Amino acid sequence: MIVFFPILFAVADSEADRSMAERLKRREPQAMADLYDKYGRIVYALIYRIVRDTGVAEDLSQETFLRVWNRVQGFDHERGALGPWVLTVARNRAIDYLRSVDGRMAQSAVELDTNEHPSLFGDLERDVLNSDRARVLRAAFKKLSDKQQMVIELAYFEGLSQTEMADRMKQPLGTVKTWMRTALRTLRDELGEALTA
Amino acid sequence: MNCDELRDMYEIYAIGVLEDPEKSEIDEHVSRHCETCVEGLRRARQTNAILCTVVPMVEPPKRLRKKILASVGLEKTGWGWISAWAAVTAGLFVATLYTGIQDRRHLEELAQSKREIRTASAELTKVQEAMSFLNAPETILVTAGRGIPLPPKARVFLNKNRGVLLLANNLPAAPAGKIYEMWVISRGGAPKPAGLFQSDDKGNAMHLLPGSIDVESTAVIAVTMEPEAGSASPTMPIVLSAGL
Repeated sequence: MIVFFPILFAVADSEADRSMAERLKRREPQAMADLYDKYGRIVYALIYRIVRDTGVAEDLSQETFLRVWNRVQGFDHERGALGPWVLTVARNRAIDYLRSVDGRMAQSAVELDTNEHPSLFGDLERDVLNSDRARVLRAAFKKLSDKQQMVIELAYFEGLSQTEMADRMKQPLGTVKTWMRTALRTLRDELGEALTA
Repeated sequence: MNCDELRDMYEIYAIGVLEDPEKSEIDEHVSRHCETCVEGLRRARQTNAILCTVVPMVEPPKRLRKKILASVGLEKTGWGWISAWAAVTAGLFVATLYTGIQDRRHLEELAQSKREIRTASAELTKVQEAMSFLNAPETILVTAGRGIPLPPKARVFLNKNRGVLLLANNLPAAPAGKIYEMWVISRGGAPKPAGLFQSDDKGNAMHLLPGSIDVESTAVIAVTMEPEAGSASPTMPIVLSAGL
């Protein structure tokens, strides 16, 4: 079983993120320095978790930040959540790499592009990545069974569809879907309780 | 499928791993702005973002920050710094070499200047001594050779494309009815008239024969005094003669 450790963020400052996004849109290079200082470690750690190669992780991290830099004009800095968008871009770069290596390109690039469009992150809570919620989610994750944890990892960190998971785990598709559904419901419920507490 | 049946799939839909037919079902709900699904997907993106932070800690290499910032023009890369240092070092080496050569050249120039100053100082001393001698009240002046006329002198310039220019001194003014005439005498040939001119009251004269001239075949440039109308060939003794 893989043991997870939360990445501890500095206290999320939604106003700082708003200002940072605004400065990124004004093409201020110093804003990129601030963005990296805040999200560089988690971006690299996430990508490394997926690709398991330091050199590739370095290249994809650079690609992630450049992609954010080049697409930030479509980001709503007044209402958007910068962190979730950056992490989604980072994960997509890594998953796209894995799929290209594995020859699983059928559903990759276009679909990943669609789910990371900056306009999709316009109504999220800006401080959603604060450490309290990360701790809640870690605690919730620990409550999952090994199988449930595995399907989550295969989906989030290997980009496998449920059919691919079933093949990998040599389990019926229905069983995999049940594990996945139950795992997500548990996480959602735990997080929901924490958010409303 | 209704929204309640789709709600457990929002997260994997949002990370792009949901397959049909469920994926198409959610696509359809989103396309018709289904509030339940849109809100469910919004929450799913938040959950996904948090899940992405629950990964083992790995420190990125320090060069990554430099590379990223360099790509937007904020900071030079490591190699850039090395290149910069190499450039500075090379620059210093060249500067040192150049300075050494310049120093040596300056030393040579300084020595030459010192020699020139010594020579000039000696000349100046002589001039000062002469001036002091001349300014001394007890110095008297006597003139030698007064009343003896100086012989005529001339400098002749030849230009194969522009002709002959003669500058003469100590050439007394020709008497009434007479004039000076210049001749171009080629090797083995007869003198050819080259123009009439007169000297001024100080004995100076300038005469130009314009046009091209065969310098190599010219043996002598001469001046005679001739009747006022000039002559086709010299009739009087030669006053000035410049051989080539």
